[in-house]
Amino acid sequence: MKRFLRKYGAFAKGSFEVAVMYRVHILLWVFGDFFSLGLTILLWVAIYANSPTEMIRGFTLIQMIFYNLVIHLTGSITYMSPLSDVAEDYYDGRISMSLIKPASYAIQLFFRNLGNNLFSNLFITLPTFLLIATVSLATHQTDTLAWLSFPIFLFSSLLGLFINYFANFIFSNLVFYTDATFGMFQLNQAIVRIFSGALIPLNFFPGWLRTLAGFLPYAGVQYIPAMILLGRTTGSDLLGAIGVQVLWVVFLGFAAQLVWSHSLSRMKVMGG
Amino acid sequence: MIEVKNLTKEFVKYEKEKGLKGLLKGFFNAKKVIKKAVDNISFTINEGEMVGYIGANGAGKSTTIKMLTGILTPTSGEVRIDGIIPYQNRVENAKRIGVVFGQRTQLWWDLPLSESFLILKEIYEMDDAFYEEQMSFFNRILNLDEFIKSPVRTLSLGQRMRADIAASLLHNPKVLYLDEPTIGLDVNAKQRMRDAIKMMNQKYNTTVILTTHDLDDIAELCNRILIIDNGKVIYDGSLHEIKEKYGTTKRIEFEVRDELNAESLNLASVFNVHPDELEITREDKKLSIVFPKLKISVAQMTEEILRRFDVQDISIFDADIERIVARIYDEGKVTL
Ligand SMILES: Nc1ncnc2c1ncn2[C@@H]1O[C@H](COP(=O)(O)OP(=O)(O)O)[C@@H](O)[C@H]1O
Ligand SMILES: [Mg+2]
Repeated sequence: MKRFLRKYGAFAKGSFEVAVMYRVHILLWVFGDFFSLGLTILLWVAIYANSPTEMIRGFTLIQMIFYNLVIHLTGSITYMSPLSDVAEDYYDGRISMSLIKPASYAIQLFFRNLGNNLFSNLFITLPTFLLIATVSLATHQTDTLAWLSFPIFLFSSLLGLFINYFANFIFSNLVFYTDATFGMFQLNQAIVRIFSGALIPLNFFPGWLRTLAGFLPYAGVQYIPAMILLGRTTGSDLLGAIGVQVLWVVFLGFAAQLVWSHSLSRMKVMGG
Repeated sequence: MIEVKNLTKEFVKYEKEKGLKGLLKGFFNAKKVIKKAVDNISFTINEGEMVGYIGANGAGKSTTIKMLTGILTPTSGEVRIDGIIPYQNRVENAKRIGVVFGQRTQLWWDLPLSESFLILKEIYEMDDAFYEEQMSFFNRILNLDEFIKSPVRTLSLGQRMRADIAASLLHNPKVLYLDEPTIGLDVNAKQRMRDAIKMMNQKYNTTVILTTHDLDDIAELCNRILIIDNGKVIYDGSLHEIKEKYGTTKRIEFEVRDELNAESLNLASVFNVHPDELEITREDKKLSIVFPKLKISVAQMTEEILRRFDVQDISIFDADIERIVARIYDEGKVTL
């Protein structure tokens, strides 16, 4: 285990250092990220102002604001974006340089993403957390969040991170079969945003879409941990929710392995 | 030991018709064509051998290297490297090999060079003492210290290649694959690369497989060459042997004043040899004749031409290796 971490930790270290190198680019990205969070909240304020009822689908305005803040928090804790790496590695043939290393490609990529994830945790997760704590105290809405569940929330988010990585990694293998890189990224983003609850709470969905969401892993990435911290999943439901996440991690982990070995066996590697 | 048996790799390509119409048509039903990039090749390479793998562009060199390194899975046939099948046991094989692809780098583009080496140290699980020893060895022969603190993207091509070769050799691999490692390098940088490869081979008995278009690389490093053409190995043997056989020609260039056409020379019948044994070209005032030196002496040939033309200048050449290989590519086969 220690050897494993030393070996693969090197990939995380490298990508973290690259992120530090490009900190200006990344800080702009962070800025954009918070800006869009602000816009989303303003949008909800407008929606509630025009709503005849104070409560929409079980959320008051203040609860909806917290929902968005917490979803933002889970989004940055679980941040993993292997699709863009796979697309780049494949498109210009750089993947051969990863394949000559005595290390699994999927795990190399996981750790490369972990380096970026660390950066996102420093510059998005921490500020978002402070923002949530501040808003919570300032609005005297201390009971909107289940602070006691915080450790469980962290654990659930960690499971979300694995689900996010595996699901995206599996999806990214489509690149090898279709040669389409840019379109894949857009498609994946859209699917993830909708079904992870990043756009709107999943209980806003009509019945059939809800059912579909239940068959997809994405709820386990952001929605499940968010609902834990929001105190909306408690007791035996909470255990069930974590159980669902664990099952997804195991299932997707195996699936990723299968999909990857199939891709590798018929891989074309571009360029001399 | 590297054993390659009936190795074949086919690529499926989709041929598209020209123009917008073709593009649209191709979107739905492009014509499938199968390209045999490597076609049923077999060879064995022993430990410590340095083998030159040469062939024209598109001959299948890189595809072979990719299968030997476990990046590509063959369509059929087999590769075993000390018993390990690289594309089935990629990670195990990767511990024992070093690879340089001339057009790529395994270094971290944005980070100082030293970081790439530190990362490699962890990936190959090297201990501190071994790492230090290797680093100082490569520093000595490749002068990495000059630029070890610079980000890789700021290095010159020659510096980057030096760094890349050090990176590929750092963990002391048993087999080193070099795919056009000297491409684009100047004479000095090329020499440095060759020295490093040679020293590694002497010090650790590293097996080396080298593809290149620079036959000086081959002449200096390899005692054995494999020539591949259109996916097939057309020659496997020593450089010496091929020089003996194909080096049995001489070339004489005459600068002549007359306006005679080369075909009317009829030299084959004059010297009583088969017309294929002579290669006569005429370009402006330059008449160039390649002939078998064992059948016709330089004196005889010169005398004959001097007798028939008004000659201003004469130069005599041995057959050079580029010429030999070009001729082999042309013929697509080697007859020894
Ligand atoms: N990924 C690929 N898809 C389709 N054809 C390929 C691919 N890679 C190589 N080829 C074809 O295989 C042949 C051999 O290529 P390669 O091994 O790169 O040649 P070399 O390295 O000797 O120049 C070429 O005709 C090339 O076009
Ligand atoms: Mg090539």
